[in-house]
Amino acid sequence: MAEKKISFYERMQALDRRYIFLVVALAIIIPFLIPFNSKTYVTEPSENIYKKIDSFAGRKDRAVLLSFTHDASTMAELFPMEVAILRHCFERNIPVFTICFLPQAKPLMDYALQVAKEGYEVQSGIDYVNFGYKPWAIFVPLLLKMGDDIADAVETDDEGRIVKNLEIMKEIKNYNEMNLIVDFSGSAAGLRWITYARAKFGANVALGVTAVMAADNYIYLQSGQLTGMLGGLKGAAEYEKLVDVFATYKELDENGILKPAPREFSKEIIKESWIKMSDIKNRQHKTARIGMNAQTVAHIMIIVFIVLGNIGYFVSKRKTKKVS
Amino acid sequence: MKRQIPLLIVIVLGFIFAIHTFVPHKVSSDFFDWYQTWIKAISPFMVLLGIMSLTMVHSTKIKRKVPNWQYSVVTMLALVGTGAIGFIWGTQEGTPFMWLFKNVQMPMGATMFSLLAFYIASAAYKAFRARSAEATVLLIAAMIVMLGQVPIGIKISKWIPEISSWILNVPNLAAKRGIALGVGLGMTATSLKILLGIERTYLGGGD
Amino acid sequence: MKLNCAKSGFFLLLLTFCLFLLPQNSRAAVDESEFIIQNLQVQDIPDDDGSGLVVSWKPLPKEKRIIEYRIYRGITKDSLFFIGKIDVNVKTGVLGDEMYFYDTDFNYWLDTQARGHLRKEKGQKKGSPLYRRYPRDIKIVGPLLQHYDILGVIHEKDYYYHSRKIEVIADEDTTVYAGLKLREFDQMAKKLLPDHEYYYTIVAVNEARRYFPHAEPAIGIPRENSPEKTQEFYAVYAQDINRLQFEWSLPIFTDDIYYHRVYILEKKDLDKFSKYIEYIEEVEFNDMAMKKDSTIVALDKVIENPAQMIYQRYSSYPWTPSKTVYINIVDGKVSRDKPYPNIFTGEERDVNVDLDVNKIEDYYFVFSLYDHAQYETFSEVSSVDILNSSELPKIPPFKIKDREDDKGDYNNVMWGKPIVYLTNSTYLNESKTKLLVNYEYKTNKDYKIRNIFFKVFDESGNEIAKINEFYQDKKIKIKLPEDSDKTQTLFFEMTFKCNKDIGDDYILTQTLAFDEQTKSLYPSEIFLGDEDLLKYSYYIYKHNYYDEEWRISKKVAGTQREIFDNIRYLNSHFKLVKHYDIEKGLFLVRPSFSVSHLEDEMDKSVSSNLFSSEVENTLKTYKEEIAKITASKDTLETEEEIKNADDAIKDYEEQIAIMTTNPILKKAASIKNPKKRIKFLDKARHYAKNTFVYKIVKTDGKGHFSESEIYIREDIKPTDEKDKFFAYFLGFGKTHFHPRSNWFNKKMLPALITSLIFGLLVFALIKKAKQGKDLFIRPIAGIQEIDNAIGRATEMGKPILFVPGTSGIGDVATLAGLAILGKVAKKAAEYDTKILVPCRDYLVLPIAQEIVKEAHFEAGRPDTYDKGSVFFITTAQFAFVAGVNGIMVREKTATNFYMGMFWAEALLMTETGASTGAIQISGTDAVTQIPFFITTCDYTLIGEELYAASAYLAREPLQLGTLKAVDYLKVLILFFIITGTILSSTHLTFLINAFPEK
Repeated sequence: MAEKKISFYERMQALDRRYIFLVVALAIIIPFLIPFNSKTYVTEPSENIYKKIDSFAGRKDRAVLLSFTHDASTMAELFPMEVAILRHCFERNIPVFTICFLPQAKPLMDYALQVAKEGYEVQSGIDYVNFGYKPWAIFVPLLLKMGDDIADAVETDDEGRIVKNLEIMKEIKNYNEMNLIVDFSGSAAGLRWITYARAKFGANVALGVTAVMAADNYIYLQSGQLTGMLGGLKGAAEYEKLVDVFATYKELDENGILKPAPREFSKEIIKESWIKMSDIKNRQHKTARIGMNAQTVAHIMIIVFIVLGNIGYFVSKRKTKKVS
Repeated sequence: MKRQIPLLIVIVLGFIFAIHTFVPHKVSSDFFDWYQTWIKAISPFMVLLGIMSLTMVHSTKIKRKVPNWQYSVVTMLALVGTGAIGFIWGTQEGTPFMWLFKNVQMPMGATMFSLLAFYIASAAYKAFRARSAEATVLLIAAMIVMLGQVPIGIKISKWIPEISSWILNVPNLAAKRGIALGVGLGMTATSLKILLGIERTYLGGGD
Repeated sequence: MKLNCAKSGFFLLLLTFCLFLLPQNSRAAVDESEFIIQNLQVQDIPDDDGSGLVVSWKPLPKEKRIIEYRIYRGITKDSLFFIGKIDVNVKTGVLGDEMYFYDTDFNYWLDTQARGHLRKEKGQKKGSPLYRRYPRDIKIVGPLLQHYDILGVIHEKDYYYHSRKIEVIADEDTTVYAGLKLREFDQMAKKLLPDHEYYYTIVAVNEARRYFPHAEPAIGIPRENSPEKTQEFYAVYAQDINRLQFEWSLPIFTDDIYYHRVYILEKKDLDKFSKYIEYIEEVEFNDMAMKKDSTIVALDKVIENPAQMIYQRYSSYPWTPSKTVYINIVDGKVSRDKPYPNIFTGEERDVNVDLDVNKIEDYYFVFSLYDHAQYETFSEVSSVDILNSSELPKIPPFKIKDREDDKGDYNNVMWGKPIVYLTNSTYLNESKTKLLVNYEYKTNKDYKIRNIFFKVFDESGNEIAKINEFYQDKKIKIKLPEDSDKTQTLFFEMTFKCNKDIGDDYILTQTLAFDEQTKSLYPSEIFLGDEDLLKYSYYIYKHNYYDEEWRISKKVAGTQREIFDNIRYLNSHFKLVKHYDIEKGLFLVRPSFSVSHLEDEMDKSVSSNLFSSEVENTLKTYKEEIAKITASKDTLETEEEIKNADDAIKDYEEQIAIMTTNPILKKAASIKNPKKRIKFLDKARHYAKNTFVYKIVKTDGKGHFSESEIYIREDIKPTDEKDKFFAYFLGFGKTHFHPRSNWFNKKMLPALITSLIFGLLVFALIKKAKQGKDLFIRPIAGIQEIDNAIGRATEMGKPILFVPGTSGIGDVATLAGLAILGKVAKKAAEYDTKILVPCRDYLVLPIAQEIVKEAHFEAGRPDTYDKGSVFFITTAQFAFVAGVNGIMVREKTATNFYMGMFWAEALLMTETGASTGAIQISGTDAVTQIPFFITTCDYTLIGEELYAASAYLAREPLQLGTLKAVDYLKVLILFFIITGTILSSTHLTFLINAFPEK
């Protein structure tokens, strides 16, 4: 460059990326330490999962299968959605099954169940069953066999009990009853459920994926092959909100006591509802929304950087024009 | 001969599997199951190839004392150590192997993955410049989608989330489908080239 | 980072430090007695068949850091084998006060994966009775067989062709068994025997995998119990057709239930009946007491059951048996031409009950479950619901077809006409004038929906919208008048246009009513005429040649119109294993197996034997027995003895008749080659088991049901003379349906046609290219730059990095990447520039090595090839990234290529590459990663360009022809997309429908 004096904008142009890293780090850490309220906008793919699960409420002949296909590296995004969906099921008396095909996922699955169970009087074998870890090699065979008989396919649950004899299985046989599968993964593993469980047996499939993978799945959402999708932390935050607004909704009864009065999903209500972060006592129930604060700040920071970079670009372009 | 026999295997099996796609008959699916059991039996031997290569590369480095050979020592120690621990105490929950996996492998993987956040930020910063009309459209679209993903978007304007989802659902999908179509055709073409023996680099070496 | 002594020392220190982080406190010396399980109890499981025990114990506190509890079982106190474990989350511990382990039913006992030899359990003191799992050693497991019910699961090929004939001589009798090696069993499963003693103990294991001493073994004895009480039982009387209908629910545990029965009881006898129930409960209680204490004697008073049995069926375990039955009352009587047998007592019960239909309300009906141990449990009595048959649901006609395009494991059961119903609604705008209504439709192969018509009316009956859904995307948009009440109820009328006429009066109605709670319009019940569709559900019943009783294939909602009935290919035999041959190391099972059942008397099994000599022997024995009984008949005195002898003779004669006259067995006997004989029998068995008769039942779940006749296909000729095999099965293809294995998947027809067109295009264009015609190919910047990029590395004297994707060799992208590697390596060899190829897949590695080696040979520089330059790093995704990034930073590579399939690791690598200042060229078909590549690399091959690259670089007719063919095919696809869009926008959906949905 001809001129020696470097303006602010030019310096912004050639900014060392380490400064960006620093700002991103701060933008993420600070909102975690100082939580604030923000309003999560609920998108249709999340709504659809919620509606589907909610339509099973109180029924003993419907169940949801949660398949955990991820390890700790993507836990930050996927764990809050798992807890939120499990809470939804426990709150609305929906039978839930959990299964994983990766050994790394097993501890995460147990942990999610432990966290979600808090505050609910749910019993393994009656309200939910943890099928435990099954080897990846039998993923597809097991998935196909479930189309016939779930109890036969998984044989035993995590506690070594024969699944067939469990109370929860009384009215549940195959995908006709276990009508929704939600797969949590940071990869395309969930698509196998579409190829086999959906195409062959007509099961509904939904995904919980990391934000990076979300864009890949819009095709399946549009074609209706996916019932719904939770994309990254945002999807998790949306689901948390849906659970709080509808499933765990409480109303004052005639004696003035707050009593659980779960509501049906309604777009009209979600538009108006506003939940204060400080009203939610259990931190595990709002992890995603706190995380969303960090994400908001980080997004704004990146936008600011982009804007600054562009201004710098224009300024230096004008200068070069002038010089030439 | 060295080339022809593998090529023949590829062509014959390739056509059989192409036929398998169109034939749902029990004979065909039984054949597929049979083939899969073979795959399962063969695959463990591949691990040997990997380990041999790793050992060869690093032992040469250590022998020749090339710069940074110490890293190779660490790699070799980790390879032998982890393997030995697994063989001696097993790989169940609670064994040293599992401990290593949980406390070394998992956090290191997570760390690498979380680097993505930083890299995406810096990549975005570098990429999004309004250099041309197209770049400007890209820039604006990116900003809207980013805002649409976070709560503040709806505060700025109720249209932001809607436009964001429109961008994801319409132009994004259109481009993706276009690319996917090209990829699909490209794959088919490559597969066909392999089947017909036009493309044989995978057998090692040129044509 | 350059390493020096200090740094390496630091590394080692860090590693050593890591070792200290291991959970050392769990390894420290502790008082082991604190880790012994307390409150160990073993209890019988109620309502079962006497094969279930539950082990319970108090879990150790969380502080003990227990990671699993291991359960051991044995038939004596001195040798207990590991049978299962329960994992515990160390961090959270066990929340409850008790833990349970259920040892029930048939579950894992032994298979080929078991250890060869008996081994003591780890960490136990000398003389401990604990062992690991049952070993494969027949000397140890053989004697245990008699203490369990052991079920061997044997693949049919092993059972038929690998069984050895073993003769066991005991008490003059010679019994022939089929002997099989353990490896010929897929698995052996065990079930506990009733009234046998079993010992259990538990061992706790902490997170350092330290095994603590076991608790004192506890004893448990499984007991036979009466079945669980049926919760629901409904009786209905349709007075105009004189028919009694019953429906019931089933308990969870059905293993040992043998009969389902319905009784009639006069209301005045209710007290007597209650006494009878008290009495049978007393009997069961006394039986239990007798087993525990031998001094107790059986009850001597006997109370008769005042209720009379009017129906009995076999429970057909392991299938889900039917849950409905109707009985016609003829001439004021419920009767049956044949008596009902009881296989346990041998008695036969005639049904001939008079009942006054005018006083039907004076009767109660009772349902009972009768089990193997002859315990009977009655439901609560149920009064009858009297109605006319017109109040029962109307059952639509139904059909059975083979499901198309499958391997022959499904029958398609379909009934009724299509259904459509609303599922949800949402306002689309603030002013609530636009309403989005979601709907769902159900149909079957018989009716193809062309159009669905929705008519919407407001409360005053005005039509506000009329929608023609020619393409069913499951949502419709309705515009409401600006001034209308937004909370008013909307009435929907839905009709269809199908491939065939469904009648003008076929109208479905539903309303959308405002729901206060959700503040939106909510769909109501669905009516077809005046029938509420959701009130009813369908049972699909079926049975085969093998089993006379109807079983439930599926229960589906009233809105459903078809099911696919799964008919599995069964290729295993289940055989009880009781005996063994220690010298030959064989487990012995029965060599006889059933093939089918008699057509007219389906409770009579048609069996054969693995060894044809045995069939003859059995015949001989039967004849001898008859002769023996006939001879001894004169010595018999009482009438009962004579009757028994006559019955025995009759039974033997019947068996002989079956063996000699049954066409399948007759045919089998005529086949001399043993292999062919077995093959024939197996085929017959397969068809007997997998061919089904169907009927459907429509019910409200409370006894108000209608049952269809069985489906008979009219359009089929009686079994073809040519196909003699099916002549063995009466009604095959007419009433009994066997799914067909299809040779061509019709859904794949468009794909096949396209493939053929593509193939032809390739040939045509290759020919054209060979003729020397110039085929234009659009220049691709990324490919053109490859040469420059390699040149740059040469100038700088730095190596080139080439990552051939991070997926396996099965991925086409990897193959495309490797093809480019060949070209790049050749150029690099020519320029004498080092090329580094890190691999993540074991199989990609040798191929890449071979390619690079070959490239050096081709370039005439075999001496410069270094095998170590193509190397394996790791299969772990992010560890691979760390490895590659390390290479970029240390080696300062001048040019980086990324060609193939990438996931989340893409940006991590390219961003590092960008920071080291390398020229980067990438190519991938991973759509999500393309944006990352574009922003961080200098050139990117997008999607198909990756595949085109090798052709582009090679520039030979074969490659160019293929590339050009892709272009033409793309034009064809584009044509279909555009025409399809235009056609379907003008209500012409035939083109869309021509392509398979998926």
